[in-house]
Amino acid sequence: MSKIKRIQKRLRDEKNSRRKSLHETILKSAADTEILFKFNFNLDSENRLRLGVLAVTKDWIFTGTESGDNEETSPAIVERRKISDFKEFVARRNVGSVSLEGVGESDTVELCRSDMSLASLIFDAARTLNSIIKNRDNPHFKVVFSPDERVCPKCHRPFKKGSTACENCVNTKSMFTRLFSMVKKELPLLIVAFSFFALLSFVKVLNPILQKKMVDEYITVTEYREGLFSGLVLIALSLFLLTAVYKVIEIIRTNMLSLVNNRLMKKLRSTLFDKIQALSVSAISKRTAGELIHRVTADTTNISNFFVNNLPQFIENSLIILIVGVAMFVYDWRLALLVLIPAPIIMGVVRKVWRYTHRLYHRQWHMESQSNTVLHDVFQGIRVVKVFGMEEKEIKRYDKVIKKVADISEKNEITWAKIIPYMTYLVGIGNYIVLAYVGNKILGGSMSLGDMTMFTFFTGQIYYAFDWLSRMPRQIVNMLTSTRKIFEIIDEEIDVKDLPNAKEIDVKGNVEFKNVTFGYEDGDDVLKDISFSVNKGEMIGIVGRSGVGKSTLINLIMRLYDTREGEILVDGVNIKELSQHSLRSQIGVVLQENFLFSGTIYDNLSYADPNATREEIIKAAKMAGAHNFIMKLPDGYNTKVGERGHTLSGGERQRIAIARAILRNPRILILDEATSALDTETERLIQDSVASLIKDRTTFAIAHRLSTLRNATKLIVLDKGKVAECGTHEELMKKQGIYYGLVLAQRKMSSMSSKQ
Amino acid sequence: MEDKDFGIANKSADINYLTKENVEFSLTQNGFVTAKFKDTPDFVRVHLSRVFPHDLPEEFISVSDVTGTEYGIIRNICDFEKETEEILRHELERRYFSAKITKILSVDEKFGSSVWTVETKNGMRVITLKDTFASIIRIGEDRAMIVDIDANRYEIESLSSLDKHSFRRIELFL
Repeated sequence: MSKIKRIQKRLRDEKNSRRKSLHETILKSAADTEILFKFNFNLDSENRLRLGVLAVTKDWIFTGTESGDNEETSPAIVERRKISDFKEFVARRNVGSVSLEGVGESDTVELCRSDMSLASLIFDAARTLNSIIKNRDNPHFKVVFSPDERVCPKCHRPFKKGSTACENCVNTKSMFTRLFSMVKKELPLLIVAFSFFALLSFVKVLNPILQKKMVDEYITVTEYREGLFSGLVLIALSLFLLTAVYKVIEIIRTNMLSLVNNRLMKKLRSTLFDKIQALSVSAISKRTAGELIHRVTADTTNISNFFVNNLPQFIENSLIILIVGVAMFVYDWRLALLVLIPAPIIMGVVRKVWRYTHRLYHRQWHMESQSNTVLHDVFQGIRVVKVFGMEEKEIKRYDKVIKKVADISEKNEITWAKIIPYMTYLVGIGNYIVLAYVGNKILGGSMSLGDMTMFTFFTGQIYYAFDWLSRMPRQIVNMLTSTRKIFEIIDEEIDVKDLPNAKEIDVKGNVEFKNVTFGYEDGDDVLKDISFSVNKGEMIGIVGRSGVGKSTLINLIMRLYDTREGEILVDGVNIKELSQHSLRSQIGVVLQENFLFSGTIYDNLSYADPNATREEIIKAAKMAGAHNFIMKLPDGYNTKVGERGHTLSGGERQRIAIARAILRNPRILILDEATSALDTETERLIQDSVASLIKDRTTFAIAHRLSTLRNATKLIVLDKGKVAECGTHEELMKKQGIYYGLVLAQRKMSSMSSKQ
Repeated sequence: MEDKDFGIANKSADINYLTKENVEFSLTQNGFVTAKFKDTPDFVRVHLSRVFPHDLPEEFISVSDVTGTEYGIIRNICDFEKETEEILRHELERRYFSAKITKILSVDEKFGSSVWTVETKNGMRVITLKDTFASIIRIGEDRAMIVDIDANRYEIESLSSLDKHSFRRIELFL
């Protein structure tokens, strides 16, 4: 075990034993009372690293914190507080730490603090403690605090939500096993391909033997004898045939490998893509589009490459070492030893030098990528640079970066030029040994020129194989890196999933929110205790300041996320009991920014209903007010849009999105700022199409311009994550609350802009 | 304090500077910072946030209520009485936690992520970086902030003052 590993182990062991003794202290303090849940924390209120335990019983909260670094000299400070003294518990996110606070009638107390590694525990603890307060009089209430069990047994780090493995402790062996089980269908073909590699290594060894025979028996003979010429022709023919056989085997092998490669790649890519499609929006949005594309393309290529290139080559080179090694020993064991013993040492030195140059070039590569970032920045933002007259500054910035690149590159070239001759010398050292040894033997008459030819070949082959094998660890690391990243996605638990007997219903359009609370990941609740009901065909306007949770609320209706507490009912059925496909296929959505896929306008429209007839598509486009502008385009409905296609204006894209929603003929319609990106004139044009769309459908609309919500059956005003007001436009105006304030502010703004 | 008005008269953009004349800070029994403003009768709990956390740790300190609504900004905590200054400094140190790395004992690359064993001013720690390059944020030429897999923050106050071995271990990622 290395020194560092020993230090790491000592730290872990010390921590574990201190943690154990803290738990015992707390258990003693709690006496016989049942501990409902407990968890560890690792900072004191001054941000010093101190281990601590917080335990909760029915009425009390116990905290035990070490008073110093040394367990012997600084005993734990145990405090207990009555739960009923607090009206609320809050997990407060600081910068780099999280604290749990108990809010009492007159003052607040910090109960514990930890760094970010235990943040999710603290958030869960606050939620659990609050539910204990809320259900104080409920005898059937059962405390659920799951995170404590989901801690990695090795490093004690809590598992990330939805993850089934500790990101810190990757098990290489299990990764290999799983990977092999994924590729096992292709294994028979791979094994056949591998056997061709084995065959090739035999053929390779035959070559020097034939060469030796040719030199000794035919080329260096001084006297003519019968059959000399025919023998030479025979050997030359054998060499030619050997090469031909070699090439044929190589062709078969390459074809087989590319077959396996294609199958493997397809399998890996489709497994990964299917999984990504099955993940919830929150799980997908944790990663950027670029990262996901990299996973599906580059990482799968790396893995496949390992199986079809690296692994067979590993087998080939190992066999060459074995066969050539044995052959050399058979011919002359002393020479074999002379060649083989220094080989690993020489290759070790070569590897060291490679690693050193790799560091140098890695720095250069990193610097170059930084200079590319500067270029990317400047070219993308060229308008801003010009408008602010910052050309000079940008030139200086770029000069500075490329100077660094040039300096590093120059230094690397010089170092490289110094290293290369020594490297060539080192790798060729085997040949010098052969030359010295065999040369001496030739002069003594105990060896022939053919022996020298053969041994020179053998040495070259064996040194090449050693060199290749020494690079193998790097290839394994590359492959495992990709495997780990792929498994990270494959292993991710699907957080929004269909029940085994999920229902499919014909939605009528009644929607009800019952005490819905929701928050993203480990964060605070975004929506708190939301309750309201909507009858079919009604239009609901959702109003509130930016960031108050309006879009989150409609995302919950579509079940892009699951609620933390409470339930959402559609026609009296909890949406968690419905199949996601059945629910979403009956919801139509028009967003502020609508995405058009690469393809024609027709493709984009029929995306909503692949079975729609041409007539239906034209009709929907007409209803959405899109037909006229489409017909002005030379290619009509066949106009290519999306990336590298015709650029449509915001209003045009919006009308296509509305046409899509019309084609879908949904029972529930969601309009999220559907018209806010448009100018008033275009908005007026679209209003009619929107009006025809929402008729007889349950509609949830979010709009920045409150005037567009005037016709809503009901308005729901969100404030601080709660429903602050609810009623018709007139009722809320009369109430003179938040909505009234928002309307007045908007009127003031529009009258100001009309005066200007 | 004179501010440029950019030729626009907009009262809501004015910075409400909090000075010893218009605010009084105090600590509650449980160690939380409270403030009493000139026009309010009682002390209320406040949160302090650095406006420029990387380069001005004790200047431009935003003071807000627990929901994040800002009361005003302290130009420099040194402008207050010694005792208040200490209260403010202490609270800022409590709010911003990043262990200061003094020595890097090992960097173990493991499938794209890396495990660092480091000595910090708070003791020895083993930290995991998910994507090593992306986890190191350079602050100016000589400082670096490191954000680990759990979003914990670590700081190398001066890269040039690191010992030769420590620097070599992380040089590749800088």
